[in-house]
Amino acid sequence: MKKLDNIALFADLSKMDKLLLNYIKLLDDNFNFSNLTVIHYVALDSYSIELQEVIPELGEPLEEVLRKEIQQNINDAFGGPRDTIDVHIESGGSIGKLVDYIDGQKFDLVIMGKKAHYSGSGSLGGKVVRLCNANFMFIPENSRPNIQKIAVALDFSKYSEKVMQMAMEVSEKTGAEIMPMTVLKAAVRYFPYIRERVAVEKSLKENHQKSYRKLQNKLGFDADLEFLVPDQDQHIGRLIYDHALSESADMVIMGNKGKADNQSLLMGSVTERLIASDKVLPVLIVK
Amino acid sequence: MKNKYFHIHGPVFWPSVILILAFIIVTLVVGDPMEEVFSSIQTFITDTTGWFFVISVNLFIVFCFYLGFSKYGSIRLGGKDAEPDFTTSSWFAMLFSAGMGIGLLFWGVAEPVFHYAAPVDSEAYTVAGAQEAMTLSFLHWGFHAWAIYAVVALSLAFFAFNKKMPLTIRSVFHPLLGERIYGWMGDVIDILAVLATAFGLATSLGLGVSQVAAGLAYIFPVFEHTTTFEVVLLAIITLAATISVMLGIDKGVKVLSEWNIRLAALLLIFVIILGPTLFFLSSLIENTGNYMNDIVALSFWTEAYGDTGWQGGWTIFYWAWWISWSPFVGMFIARVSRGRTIREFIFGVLLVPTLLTFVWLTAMGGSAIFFDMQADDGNALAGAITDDVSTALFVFLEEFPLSMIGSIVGIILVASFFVTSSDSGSLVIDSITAGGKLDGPVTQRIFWATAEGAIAAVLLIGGGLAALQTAAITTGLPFLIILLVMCYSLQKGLVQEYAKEKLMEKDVDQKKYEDRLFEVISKKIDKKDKS
Repeated sequence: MKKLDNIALFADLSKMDKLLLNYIKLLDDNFNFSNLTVIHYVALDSYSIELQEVIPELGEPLEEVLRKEIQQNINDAFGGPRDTIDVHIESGGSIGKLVDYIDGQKFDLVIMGKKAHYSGSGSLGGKVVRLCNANFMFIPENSRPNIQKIAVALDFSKYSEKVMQMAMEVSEKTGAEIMPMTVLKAAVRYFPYIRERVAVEKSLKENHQKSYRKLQNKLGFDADLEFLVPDQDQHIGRLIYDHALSESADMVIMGNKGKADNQSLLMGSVTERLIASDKVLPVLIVK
Repeated sequence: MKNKYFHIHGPVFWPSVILILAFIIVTLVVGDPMEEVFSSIQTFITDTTGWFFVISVNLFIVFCFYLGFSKYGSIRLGGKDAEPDFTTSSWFAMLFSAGMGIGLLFWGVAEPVFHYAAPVDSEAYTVAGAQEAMTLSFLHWGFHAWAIYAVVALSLAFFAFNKKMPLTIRSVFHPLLGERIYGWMGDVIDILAVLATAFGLATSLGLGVSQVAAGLAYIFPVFEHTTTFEVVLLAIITLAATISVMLGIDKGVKVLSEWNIRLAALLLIFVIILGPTLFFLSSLIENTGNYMNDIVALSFWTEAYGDTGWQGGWTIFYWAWWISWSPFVGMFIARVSRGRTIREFIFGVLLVPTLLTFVWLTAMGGSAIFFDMQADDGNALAGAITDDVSTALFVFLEEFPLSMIGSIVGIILVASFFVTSSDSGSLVIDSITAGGKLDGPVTQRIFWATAEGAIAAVLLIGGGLAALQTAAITTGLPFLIILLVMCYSLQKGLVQEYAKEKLMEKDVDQKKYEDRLFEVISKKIDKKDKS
């Protein structure tokens, strides 16, 4: 697992920017990132007539104005410019180019603000997280940058090792406690037979416990795995989120996709639910 | 290693060079026993894994049609906005020249006649035998061959142009091996591809030169078909290939391929018009019908109830041959196919060359069979053709008026097809040994073009071409497995790519963003006004 060193942050000129910068400032106190790039995406493929009229009045290119605006916010948050912080303005309105840029920079983590009204794959964040190879963290408006407890959602798929490594890295830097959890969900076909369902759950639990111990031996950490059992019809994403919240976790770390997710999904349904429904907890998605 | 003249990927370049040298030295030193070793390996492979080849090549066809007709057909190689590098006609010309041009010149007359003289099911030299001969030839040169090329080429093109990975065989394994493809596993895969290409190419160059030499000696008795003569011809062909390599794809291979096709068309028209025109037209229809009617039974036939060894020597041999050529042809086709949609690609690579091949086989081999059936001379023509494959084309052309001109065109065509093969082969090997770079330094490409000629020359003089060809074909089995993995990888990659393209189509809400932009701008203008 690479250290969290090369970080990107999305600024979108909204009020969120200041919150995000403050959040990352506090993270930086622990992490000491060697490089932070603040990315702004000019989400227009062409300028409207109104814009075309006012841009000449600026006396300098629009990109320059945006760069200065963002730099100002950075200065406010960090108490002046820092040579480890860059601003990147991506204009042209091509998400494809933006994705190429992000993948090309090999960021260890990309941080985005999450609006209360997240609109799934239609929003910029929703698109970029699906298209890029980087790890993403979504930060809601009212989250605390004080990380003391990390909820780690494991399903023992190929992501789980990376997810755990990421949790260990964050924990090492912040001193936060790791709280691993997994959901016991028997496949639908067992549902009519309640007694069998119990048996299936038991063997599922044993399997998970075994995989977990393997992971523990490999990575060397100690924390007990918690088993969550969903009520009928309860969405797993919701279950994980509620549990993390009730245990007063400060963030959730999980993989991009689960075991059962279809190849054609760019993001798993549980992950999707977690970044869509959550209002308080930051979610870190490991790819 | 990186400088003006060389830019190589050491872990692939050096082992390849060393292995090629070692192989040649061993072949030269050991001599004939080497050929026995390889042919027993080959026999073993065809005997025990023939069924595996048979089912796999059919899978490739199914896979190609599935991709062509599925929603993934709309994915464009090189991304949504990519435009084709070459016009459709030069694209077809290059596909055809690289894919089988040379093989068709060599076998176009001879193969149908061979089957006609020794059919599997029917009596030799009969109408049924002739029909069977054409159907079998179509089988060996038809959809299956092009499906093999299409799978390799499409996988390579997709991972290189859409996933932006180096254009080498290893890239295709990314969905399976992940970043490990950049380690030793990837190196091994690439070295195997280099060896198969280098040996395949060197042996073809060697055997092709014997055809040119045989042809020249046949037409102009001044020339004697000796090894020295062959080596001189080889030097000339290699020189021409080197010049073509220096000129690059655009001025070299592309122009030559176009001329190849024009010349080949000329020869074809010559044969059709001066030959049995009506027979050509009617038999083309009938052969195609027979092929389509028999394709399922024939292509799934494994000699399970009565092994005569025929299939191992022909059908399985061909499947292994196409597969061992597929890294080379596939990479070349991939390189010239950027900007095509997958649907265009599949039907372009699968249908057009196949139909052209049918026309060619019917005009050449079909007419030869026709002449033989017409003449009442104890099948002298068929006997002469099957006697020596390298002169088959020229023996056949003797049946025509102006045969001298026809034969000269034939020789030029063989030579020029060899130049394009050698040229595109060098481009491919160069690309693999340079770590997937598309445009390595010219010096390096010249190195490979010359090396190919040198290997062929050494083997012509020292013997061992046949051994090496057998060795090249034995790489068919490992590559068959690689090809199956490719299908899986490609399918996986396409599913993702399609989901991504769909996602890109939806627009981000621009209105809200524009409002924020206005806020920043007006703040700035206010500030400016105040100061």
